[in-house]
Amino acid sequence: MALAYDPRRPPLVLLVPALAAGAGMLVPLGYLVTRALEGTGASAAELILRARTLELLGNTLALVACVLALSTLIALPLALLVTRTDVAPRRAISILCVLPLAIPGYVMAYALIGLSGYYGFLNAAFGVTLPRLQGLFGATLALSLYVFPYIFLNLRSALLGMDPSLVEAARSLGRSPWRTFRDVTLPHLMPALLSGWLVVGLYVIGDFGAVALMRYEVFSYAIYNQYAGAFDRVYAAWLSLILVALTVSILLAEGLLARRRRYARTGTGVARAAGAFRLGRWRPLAYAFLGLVFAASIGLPLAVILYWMSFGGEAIDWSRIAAAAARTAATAAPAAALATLLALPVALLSARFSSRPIWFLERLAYFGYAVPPLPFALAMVFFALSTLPALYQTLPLLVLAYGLSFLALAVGPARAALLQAGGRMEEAARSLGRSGAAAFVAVTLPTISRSLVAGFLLVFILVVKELPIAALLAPTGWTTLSMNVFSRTVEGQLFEAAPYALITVLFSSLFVGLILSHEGRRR
Amino acid sequence: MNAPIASPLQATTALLTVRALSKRFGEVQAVAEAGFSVAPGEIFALIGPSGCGKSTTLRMIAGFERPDGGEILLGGERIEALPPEKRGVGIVFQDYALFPHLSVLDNVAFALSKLPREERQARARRFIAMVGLEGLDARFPDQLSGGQQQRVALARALCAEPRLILLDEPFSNLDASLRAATRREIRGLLKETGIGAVFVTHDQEEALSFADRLCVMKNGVVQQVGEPERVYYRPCNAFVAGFLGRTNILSGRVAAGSTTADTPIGPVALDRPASGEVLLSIRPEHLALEPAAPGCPIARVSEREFKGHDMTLWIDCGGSQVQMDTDFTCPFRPGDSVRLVARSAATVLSD
Repeated sequence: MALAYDPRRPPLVLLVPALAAGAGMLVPLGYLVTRALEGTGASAAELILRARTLELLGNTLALVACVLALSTLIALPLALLVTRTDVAPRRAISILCVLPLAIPGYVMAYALIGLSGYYGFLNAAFGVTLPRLQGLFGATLALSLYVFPYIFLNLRSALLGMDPSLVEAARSLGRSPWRTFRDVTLPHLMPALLSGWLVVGLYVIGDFGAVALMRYEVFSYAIYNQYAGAFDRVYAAWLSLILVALTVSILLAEGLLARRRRYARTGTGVARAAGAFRLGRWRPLAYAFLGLVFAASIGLPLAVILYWMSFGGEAIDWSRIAAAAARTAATAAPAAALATLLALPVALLSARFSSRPIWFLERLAYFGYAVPPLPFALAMVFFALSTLPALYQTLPLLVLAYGLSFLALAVGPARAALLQAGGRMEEAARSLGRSGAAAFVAVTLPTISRSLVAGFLLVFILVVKELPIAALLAPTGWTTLSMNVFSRTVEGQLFEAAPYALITVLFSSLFVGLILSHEGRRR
Repeated sequence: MNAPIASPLQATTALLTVRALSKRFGEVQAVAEAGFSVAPGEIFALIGPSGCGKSTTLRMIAGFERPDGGEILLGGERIEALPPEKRGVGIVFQDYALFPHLSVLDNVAFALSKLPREERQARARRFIAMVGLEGLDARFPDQLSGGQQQRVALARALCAEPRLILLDEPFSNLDASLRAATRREIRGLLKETGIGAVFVTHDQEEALSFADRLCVMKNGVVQQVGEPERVYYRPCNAFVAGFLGRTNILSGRVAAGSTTADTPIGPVALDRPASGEVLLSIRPEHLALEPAAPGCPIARVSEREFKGHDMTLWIDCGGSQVQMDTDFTCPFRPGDSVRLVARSAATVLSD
């Protein structure tokens, strides 16, 4: 029986844009492969299997390991302090623990560099001249001080969500506090730790600004140099593919590790909070630790930026800075709008018409977010050069790359809001005479609009902070705030970079505000 | 299916006719060849345990699910190919699905978007008054109690002037204390408007007291359709008998030419002729107790459940437990020897 109307068939008006977004993720990566295969078989093998590639891989993995270790060493004690002890003021400390997210890795690197040398902040303030920070140590420090809040937030919510009776049960079964922590609490934190490590690990292998400023040779830095300097695009394509493969293996490994563990709560006791551990004589040590972390992660970059700003004085050309800010906004606004517009059909399909192909389409959006920015940008370059050369080095291509790369960030809140709104209201509207589209606009759109705006803001702010995609795809002369911080620091113009860094930090604090308001709503 | 479809309605006079309606979700046959009809102004209940297909049937009538086969006729016209907005079928959801961003007035006036503002609001106010919510026009759904929300949902559905109204578990979100009063009130409102209603419930008391007729479903299959008293007193099978309240299922033997069956409680009159081995249903309130007499089967009171306004006694009749309802006058205590007497004919079950 052929029926005109089938409520379970996804409408074309959703399928077409969602498929276009999916194709936008995959097709450029296809061009990356095509470009990589342009080298003849033998030379390709030579190209990849040389010591240099191995060195880059080793450096990348070493950086990931060091950043994960250092940021966990910072985040775990912080999370325990704010959730399990009587440290005060708890709310303010929690905010300070998230605030470093406002200082992007390249700004942190700028601050660490601005610290050292004869004209550096340390010499001016304390008479100490340090050699310029660089290499694995510098990159680890710059990145860890920026990313540890991701791990902190995951650990904190896991600790708050843990059933306190588990710990009490372990204690009543004769375990000491330390062994209870090791045998009960720590295993329960593993899923949160793993997902925090995933976010940080993916960020670190994709990061470009901090490693480039620290002159530490990892994949992304090498890709940029190959592309921008040596113009060996085949090798750049191969390095990009290896980096994408590394991303995929990290995603798969995390999936496997997360699947093997079971930590679902069996009880329902939610209301009770865990008893606070009295710090007692440990209190000075706890505050010393907090002081050190906050001084390094927030105080230091602000002090260094302001120190270099004081050199600029009248010489700071605010109109040029305003122009860069305007260019940044003119990039971020359409990119965020595009991401939000594409997110809506993807989220609607995934929330309403779940099927295997649609699940795959949604995963593709998340994959696009996980792909390191430089390979993604390089893929867009190859794609544009092969299909529409007129698009190369234009603002639309940059906006398109951002919209696709950050699509997942807009899909997340939209999908959650749609699932929360459910389908009943729209069904009620249809039974009251509205067509499918009219019912969506009249009833569902108003209820999910807050989440769409949140997704838009999130993408906007992250585009403002973003460096690698801009560095590769921005039209000539179209320098954004982040590009100014980067290029001026590379050239050693630390005081000229300072105002750009300051504005980036101020703007990024909006992002932190967004995260904190979300956190606040949840608890 | 040998269930007696006690429907005197023809498709020409019926408001809603459902014929051989089927729906499969993957491996599960949610609804299988379901059929019934609803008269204009009639309140019709679909009742069954969860997963019996009653909600899927309702959603197919509303147009939210596409049937795999069968026909749905509203006022004699096929509607199963129409989208929900073209069917003229209103629905009140279990969770009411009020639009949280709209006031009570705008919720109720939602269906009237084509009318001019004045007329739209006047008409919506009429329906708000009809459900007894005058003065709450400007409130938002989250400022209303559960009962008020439900009445807004009803007013919103009625304001669209549908040909048929569907109610999905309409009273399950209300406090038990509110439920009976709301039920009477809503029944009055529906009868006042005179449009037909189909509602879904798993609560037998609700179906028996709210519906003009009901349809019992199990595993997607219609078991029995009829007026509440008829289905309650003359269930067609053990499932219907047990689902619509407490009952005793007894096996008996009917001698050729006899109108009574031999059962563990003694000879029992039958509601229709039968022969050989039969399965009988007799409700606890249709049994009475008398002191044991010589020659009757041995029966002993095994338990006495005091329930306030009445009580239930469990009687051990040669190994099978039979329950019977009685009141404060009952002189028997556990251990007493008694004789069970059927106050009405037992129902012969088809399986």
